[in-house]
Amino acid sequence: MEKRKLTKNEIIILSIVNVIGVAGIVVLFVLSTNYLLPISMVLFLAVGDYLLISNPQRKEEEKQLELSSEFVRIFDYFSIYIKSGVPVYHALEETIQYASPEMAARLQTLLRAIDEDKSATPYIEFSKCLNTIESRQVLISIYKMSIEGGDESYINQFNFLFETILEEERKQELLRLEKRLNTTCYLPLAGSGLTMILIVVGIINVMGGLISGI
Amino acid sequence: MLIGISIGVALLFAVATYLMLGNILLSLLIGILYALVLIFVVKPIIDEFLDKNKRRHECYRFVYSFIVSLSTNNSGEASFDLALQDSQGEEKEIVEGIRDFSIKEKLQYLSSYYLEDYYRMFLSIYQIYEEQGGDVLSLAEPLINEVAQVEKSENSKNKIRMNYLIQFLTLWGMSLLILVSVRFGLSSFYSEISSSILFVLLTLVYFLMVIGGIVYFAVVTTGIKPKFKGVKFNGKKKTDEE
Repeated sequence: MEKRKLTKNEIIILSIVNVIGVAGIVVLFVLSTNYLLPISMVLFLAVGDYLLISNPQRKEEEKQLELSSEFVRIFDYFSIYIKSGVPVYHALEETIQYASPEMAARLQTLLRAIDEDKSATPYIEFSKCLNTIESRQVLISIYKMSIEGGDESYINQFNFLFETILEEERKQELLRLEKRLNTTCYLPLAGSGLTMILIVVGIINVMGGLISGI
Repeated sequence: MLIGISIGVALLFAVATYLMLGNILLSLLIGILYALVLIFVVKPIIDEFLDKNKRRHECYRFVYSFIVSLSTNNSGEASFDLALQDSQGEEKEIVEGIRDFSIKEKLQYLSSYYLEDYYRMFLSIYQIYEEQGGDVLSLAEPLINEVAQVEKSENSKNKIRMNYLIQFLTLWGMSLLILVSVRFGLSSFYSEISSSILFVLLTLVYFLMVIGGIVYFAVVTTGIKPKFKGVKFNGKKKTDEE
């Protein structure tokens, strides 16, 4: 996937944060004798910059993933219409009701393009928003089904291709859920770490008190 | 029941705060904070999730039973009654309310209760069957397979959620146990430890982390974000259309 460039606003925000950060580091460096603090600030600034720069790219990747998942979800219903004997064009029209506004708009564009151009071009143009080879293959098989008027071999080909990506998407959905739930287990570990710090702080306080009492 | 659990948990953490800090005011504040967050933030999320789960399961049962009944008795009305004979709670109330509707109206009305996408597919398949006739089982076979797959997939997800819930509760339980054991393990000079401002602050941060962790877990597990009256969780105000 192509790397998304930063927008003008994002560059302005990044510049302001960096200018303030660098000014703060310089002031601390000049005024403070303890260099740990300015060095820590440099590290924080570096991490913050990385997060700010990579965030738009991450959001773009998430959006792409969402679009691909939605494609599989709504074309699952498309496949049910096809298996029930509904023609391809009508099945695509019926599928729109299951789509999000963005996907519905893309499907409307596909249908309008099919009305004007009976080649595979509209399907290939639609597949560009999905960015996976499997989705493109599925859309080309849909094109073949539409021109062959319900020939069983093309329906079987579509079913085979689609079942494969559907199975894979279901597995990925479970993996994504597990990955998200995994992040919730880091907090209790951080809590345990904080407990250890509490114990250390407490013991150091007591030892400090004992030593100063000597 | 959830309110009872929320109050129980809030009391537990209030007692834990008192054990750690020996300060009634701070314990009360922590207890009240926990009770408010659990009752007004976490409970609505869990209620919504459980309600969605219940409706999904009811939808699966209805669609499956209706199609199977229709294949044997060829009557929409009879199949509708058979499919919903064991309905309970809100589903039963809705069914009784629409008793006088025609079969098409009844099925259409239920689409406001059953929120699954495949229910709309079911309405389309039923319409095709009404118009063209034929064997409803062959017509609806792809839908039945899809419905069964969705139910199986959601059950798998719920199993994973339950496993992680147990893991989450165990980890926090052990962490709290360690904290409380510090209180009793170092009891001889605990009063000196707990008088340190840093110790008090870190203990409060710990308890705030716990409640934050519970909210985060509820949001991640259910995929439902907390809603506040007039304001959505991401800070944007609800519009009139919403």
